Amino acid sequence: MWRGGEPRARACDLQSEAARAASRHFEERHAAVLRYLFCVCGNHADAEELTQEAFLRLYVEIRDRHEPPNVQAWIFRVAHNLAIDHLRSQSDAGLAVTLGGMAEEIADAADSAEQQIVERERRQRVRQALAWLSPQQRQCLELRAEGLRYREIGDVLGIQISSVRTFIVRAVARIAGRTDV
Amino acid sequence: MFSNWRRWRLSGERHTPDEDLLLFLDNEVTSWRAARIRRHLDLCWTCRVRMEKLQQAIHDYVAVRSQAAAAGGEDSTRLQMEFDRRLAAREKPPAAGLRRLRFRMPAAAWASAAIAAIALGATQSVSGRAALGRVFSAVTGWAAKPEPAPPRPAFPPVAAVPHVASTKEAAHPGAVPVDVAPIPSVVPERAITRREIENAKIEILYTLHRTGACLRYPLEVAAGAREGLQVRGVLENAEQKERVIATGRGREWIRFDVVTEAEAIERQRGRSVAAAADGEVVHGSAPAVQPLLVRYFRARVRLEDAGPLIVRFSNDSLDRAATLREHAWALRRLAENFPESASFDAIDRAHAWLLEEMMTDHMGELRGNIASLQRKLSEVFPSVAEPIAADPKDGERPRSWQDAVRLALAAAETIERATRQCFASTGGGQPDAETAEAELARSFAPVAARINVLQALVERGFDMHNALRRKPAPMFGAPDSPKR
Repeated sequence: MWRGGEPRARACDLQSEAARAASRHFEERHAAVLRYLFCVCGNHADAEELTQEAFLRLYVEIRDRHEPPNVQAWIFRVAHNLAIDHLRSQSDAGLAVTLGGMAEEIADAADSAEQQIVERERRQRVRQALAWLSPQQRQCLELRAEGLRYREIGDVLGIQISSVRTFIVRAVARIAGRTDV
Repeated sequence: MFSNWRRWRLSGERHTPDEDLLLFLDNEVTSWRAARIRRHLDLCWTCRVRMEKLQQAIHDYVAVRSQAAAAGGEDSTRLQMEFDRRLAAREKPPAAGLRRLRFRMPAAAWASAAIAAIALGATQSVSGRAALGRVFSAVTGWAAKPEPAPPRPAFPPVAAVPHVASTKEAAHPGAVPVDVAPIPSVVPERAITRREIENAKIEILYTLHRTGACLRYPLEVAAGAREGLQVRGVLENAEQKERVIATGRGREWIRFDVVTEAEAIERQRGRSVAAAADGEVVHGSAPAVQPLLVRYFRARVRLEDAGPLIVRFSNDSLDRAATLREHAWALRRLAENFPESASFDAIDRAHAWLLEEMMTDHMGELRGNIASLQRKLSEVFPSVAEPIAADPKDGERPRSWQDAVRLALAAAETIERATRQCFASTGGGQPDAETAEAELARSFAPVAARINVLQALVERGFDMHNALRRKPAPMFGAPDSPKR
């Protein structure tokens, strides 16, 4: 999360109310949107570019119409659609699943060697489980981890709330090591 | 939604399914169902262990995810600065954009335009050539001189115009009239549509809901056909006030007369002291059911612990009764703002979704608080949990959801009043334990009946809620959202 002083000063220099509101929303939500887009796209540069584009669309929405009642869900939906369009324009390879691979390269931060081994094994198990998840299950999990309600997730992904429930339950059960759900 | 629950109940299985446990963890079940699951978890170790496994899985996923995000190494400051720069560029007037576009025109286009202008210029008339020149100069920015304007009739010099003093100057010689009346606008103000008013009303109510100001604070949202929307009342703090006012930003037809609690007290201070001190009556004597409470708690705990437990039990019961009444009031506020004559067609679907969410929240809380109050009281007073024949007039079916909400509020107020009568002294003489118990049974009889009626009414509300859900309302219809 941004903590510096200069960007705030710049945001205050923005002339219109819509621009200031968009800048404020960017400050509050860009990290979450970036994380989600990175999960979908698998590329940091693309995720950053799409994040900027999504919030610029929020600015246009506020300027030309009004601020959406639920900005968080709105911005995630626009970001999701942008990501889908971006991936389709890139190739037909489908959605990227990146989290499992990314976490593999990270050093363990546990205190003792035993804890490190336990943590590593646990993470390995989670990564293996994640590799089995469908893109929609991953997206549902990601959006839930960002604090969206099931109904909001359904609206972002354009699916029924019952499907969201099923995706999340099966994904969590898979991570928990259960396959009978 | 109910299929799993029903399947679970009908199958005779004693454990809660994983799906329900996860929904319970995510707070995606209704309050009464959450209470049921919680009761089951209190008793069932197996389900508790399974729920902990699910929690551990979520914990593992979040840990892996946060590590992956940290590895991304995002530079928030740089991103924010980049975004602000792009925003500032978007804020510039469109003319600047056109100018940039002009200089980005490829050389071939410049040459084509010049050749076309020369070729046409040789064949066209003088006026046609002038018009083409104006178009060409507008596109290229070249200094093609426009045709000289026809000479205007010469006005006499300023000094030659005789000064005619106005009536004000004549009355006050030497005074400069500064209070010039504004020129009336020839463009009539845009009429505010009913849809805009209804949507704004829902947005303001939703802001109140999200800030928690929909409970226990009086705030009125009144809509007039010509006056637009008027919001007035008292809120808890400055942040709530700011957020409510921010909801109406950019819409001048919404007028706010909102004060915080501190500001209201400050206003009140200027008035009569007696009016300001008009608060809740504090009763000094013990509650009517004190002997029963003492008997109950002394039988279970040590003598010195009974006192604090009685106080806690009384306060908790009163709090729950007050909370359920507050939620009933919040529902009534929604019903008042959307009377029977109002149609859901007059609201955007996104706003209908917000209204639905507010109603669902309050109905769930209402149901949960009734159940928890009844459960709590039945620990000490078993008669509260006994089934009591409902009054025939309680069986009247409400005509609409607004009607149902009014009846629900009446029932909630009955419950709260009866609870207060039990736990607060009415100022009369102290009855003996038997008399108090009998009075207690009588006072709770209508409450128990009302609880049943209230549950039926809330279910009626859920029917309305489900009817709304049959027409799924998308949250937004942003034209900028790329279509999938």
